[in-house]
Amino acid sequence: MTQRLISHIADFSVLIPVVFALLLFKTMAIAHLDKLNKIVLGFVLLTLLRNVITSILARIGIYNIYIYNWYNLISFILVAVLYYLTFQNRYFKGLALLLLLVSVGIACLDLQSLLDVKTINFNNFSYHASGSFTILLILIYYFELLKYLPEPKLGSSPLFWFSSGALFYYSGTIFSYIFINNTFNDLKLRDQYWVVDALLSVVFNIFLAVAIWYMKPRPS
Amino acid sequence: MEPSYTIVIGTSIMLIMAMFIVVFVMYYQRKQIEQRIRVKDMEAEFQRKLLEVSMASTEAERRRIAQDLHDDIGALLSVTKLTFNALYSQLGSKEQAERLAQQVREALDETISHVRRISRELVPTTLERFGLAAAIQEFAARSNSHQALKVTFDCLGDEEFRLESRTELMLYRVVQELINNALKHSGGRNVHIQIELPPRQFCIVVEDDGLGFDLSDVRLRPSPGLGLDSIEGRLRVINGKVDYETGLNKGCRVVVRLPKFSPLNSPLAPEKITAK
Repeated sequence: MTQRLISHIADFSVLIPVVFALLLFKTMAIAHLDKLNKIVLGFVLLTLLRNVITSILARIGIYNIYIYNWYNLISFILVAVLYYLTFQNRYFKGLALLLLLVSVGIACLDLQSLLDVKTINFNNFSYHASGSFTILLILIYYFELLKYLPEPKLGSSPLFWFSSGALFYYSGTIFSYIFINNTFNDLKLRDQYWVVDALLSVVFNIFLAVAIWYMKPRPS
Repeated sequence: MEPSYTIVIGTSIMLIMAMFIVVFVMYYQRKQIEQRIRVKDMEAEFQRKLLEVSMASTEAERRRIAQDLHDDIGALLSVTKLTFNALYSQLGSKEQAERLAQQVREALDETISHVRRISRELVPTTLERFGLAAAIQEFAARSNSHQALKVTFDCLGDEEFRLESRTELMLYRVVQELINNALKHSGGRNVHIQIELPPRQFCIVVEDDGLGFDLSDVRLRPSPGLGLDSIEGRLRVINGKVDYETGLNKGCRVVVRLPKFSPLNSPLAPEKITAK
């Protein structure tokens, strides 16, 4: 019961950044935002879509795991593009692109989990890979933050808040992802996994809301 | 170890590490920014000192030239004039010689007065003796005599107030530049100079009713005209501020302020320029 409640809270917590995004659109048009902010908003929208669709499918008793598999792949593509655009060092830019391609390749190794709408399996490698790659990209972003000092006020940088939220989420869930197929077959472990994932989702969504709060129109 | 414990321990360790990394990045980035600001401040201070030394040496050079003009050239010209007068008295009264002698005497007089003027402009003696207000008033009166433009002067506050000599000289040069700008470029009919001396505040206003200029346009030029660089550089040395209120066909009003000034003989006054 508690786990279900936490899971619902996690699903609904995506509405926090969505509400902030709607407030943002009241004050400015989306065209005035820079590419990075648009990608962060795209990420929020994608998460909202995933939560809505999976909730509806679960309610009417239709398999929804392939939605999670696709979400995992597309969200990593967004993250990789986001950091590709952010990095200043060309080798790191190249690495972001390489990780994107590797991630797509890894996801395709278990193509059935993406194409079969009735799949009951999470993609075999994609979750570990995209989680680890995201952590790596965030660490490189932090390294560049300290090296080039592009942000005079880190506390008001949307990308810093996004990255910190993502770091907490992916660091906290990477172990669960590694054991995802074990945990999903064991009911006790599955609940444990969902609770950890749900709590970290709430934290990530709060960080996303702060990131949106600090979004400003790009300088003309 | 059971997978359950592995997940819990692994997740906890990863979360602690993530938190540590985020806190470290925030802390270290702030330190780095502070360090960068300190370096920038030091660079600005170094530039200011460099400018100060460069301007002090310019003033010292001016002083030397003025002294040479006054003591050497001026004296030589005066001796030449006296010698010429003596020679003239020997010439008798031939008409041609008298006319030529008159011309040479006039040329000598003019040269002597030019040498005096150049010498006075190089080092404003009125400034050293009577202070900024008197020197600016004298400069305004001199500018008035040759131009179609009317230059007026007004002084408020304690006229006896004296600043540290380096500051007075810098302000005098700034006002000179501003008046010359108004005379050469403004195309107006009136220039008004107002100086407000303490106790209320220290402020100099130079305004004209001329064509004005587009400040952003002037600033965008690779080397700003109208001597803005020189004005701002001098004011930076003495921690002064300048505000331009102008626009095309709106005249120009320049306000120079000294938010913190050290009166003469103040223990806070920076070391004075020493020159010959």
